[in-house]
Amino acid sequence: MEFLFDVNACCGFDRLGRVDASLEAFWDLSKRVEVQKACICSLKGAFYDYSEGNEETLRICEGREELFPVATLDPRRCWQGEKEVKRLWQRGFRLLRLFPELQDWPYRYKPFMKILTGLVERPLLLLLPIRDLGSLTELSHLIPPGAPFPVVLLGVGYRLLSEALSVLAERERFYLETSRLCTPDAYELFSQELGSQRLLFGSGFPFTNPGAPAFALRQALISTENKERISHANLEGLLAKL
Amino acid sequence: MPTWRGYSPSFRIIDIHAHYGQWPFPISIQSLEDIEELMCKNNITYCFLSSSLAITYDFVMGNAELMDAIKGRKGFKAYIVVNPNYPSLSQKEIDKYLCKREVVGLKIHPVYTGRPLDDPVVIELIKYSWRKCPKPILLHTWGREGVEAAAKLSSSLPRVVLILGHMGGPLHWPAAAELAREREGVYLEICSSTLPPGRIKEAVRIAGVEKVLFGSDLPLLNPAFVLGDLLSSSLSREELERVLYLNASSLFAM
Repeated sequence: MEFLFDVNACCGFDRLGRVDASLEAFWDLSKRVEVQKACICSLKGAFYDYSEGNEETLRICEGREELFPVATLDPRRCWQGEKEVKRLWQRGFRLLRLFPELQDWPYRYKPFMKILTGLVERPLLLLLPIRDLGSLTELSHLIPPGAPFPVVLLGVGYRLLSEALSVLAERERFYLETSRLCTPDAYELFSQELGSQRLLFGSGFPFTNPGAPAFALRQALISTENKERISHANLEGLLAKL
Repeated sequence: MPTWRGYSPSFRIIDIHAHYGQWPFPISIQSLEDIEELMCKNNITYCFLSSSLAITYDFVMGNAELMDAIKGRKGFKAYIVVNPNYPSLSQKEIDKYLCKREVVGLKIHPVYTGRPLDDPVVIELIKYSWRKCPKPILLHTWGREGVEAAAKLSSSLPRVVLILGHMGGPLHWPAAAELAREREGVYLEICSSTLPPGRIKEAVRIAGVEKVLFGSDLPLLNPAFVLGDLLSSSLSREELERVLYLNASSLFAM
């Protein structure tokens, strides 16, 4: 593989004191596993205030071609999703990462649906974590098949893989990120069933170590061409269209 | 053969935590041949298996199936699964298998049996097993409750070798590492589907490199996924060799 382009990274401060979540730590680890470019979101926006977090993300990415800023919104606070999405678009963001897993809100939640409505007008690339059995099925009902924005599903592991394969078979604009794609034949199975163009490398930093999905992809029994797609080309193609 | 960031085929690997059988997820790795292929790809010399049939359903049937499958097969060893809801039957399984050369120890999974690791029946079973044949006990150890129960278990049985499978999971590994540092017989096994950065390096610092063992949870997890975490963890070449092979080789007298 030439290099990895990480679709799912965050940085900032870990209030639990378990990991060094700084940008420096991210790059130090990333270089070791051949990540050269990353879409990154400040954790301040997830844990504290999304407006301040988004400004921090823009500052982090300023003047750095290898970093792509990812905005966030917190639907617990933001009830005018359409307006907020428009504001993010005008501010130059093209990616939006939501944190229901940290903020504890469900997908069937009106403020989230308002954000989805906003994305129809301003189609940002939406990054969404999937936690529980059934939540991806529910999401597929909430986002209409003709929605113009791509959705990248984060953190799908072995428990959710069957559901992901079922839903993605019917939804062309849904993609899967690889940070927890941990079963021995996941890349082979996914490439065979849905094609490698629907997989995007993601590290899940700072919650997971980029080394795990990086080495799993490297070791996968799929063609070099497929590995190049997953490692960076698919994401580059998606960003080019936004 | 994996070659990545200083990791070379010269590293031998013992995978001390793997399974034989099916799980209710889309995973095509099932037969010993499938597992052998993965072992070869990842340079794994020995793979220690417990039966998923024994863990999730019928332990007697599962143990028998596994023992039959690995008969005469190089590279595979077995854990015998016991179920504390059936203490007498569990003792019979220990009597039947534990002292066999191809059996490396006992496996206990508190979630599937609904019995915590510090349950008196579990403690009695482990005592029985250790008296019968002192081989390591691999414990599924997840979350705060799992680590706390393992701590109580190890204080009841200080001489028994206990391996904390998953070392407490992605949030509670520091407590597991402290336990391994404090108790001579407690070891850590590293696999998990969520692998926070810095975990292994810090566990080695807390518990000592001799207390950390490589396991993959294969076929639930890809050995390459867990190896990627380990290989990017900034351990020295010597430390990697200990975690991947030497510690297990010594502990299981391979």
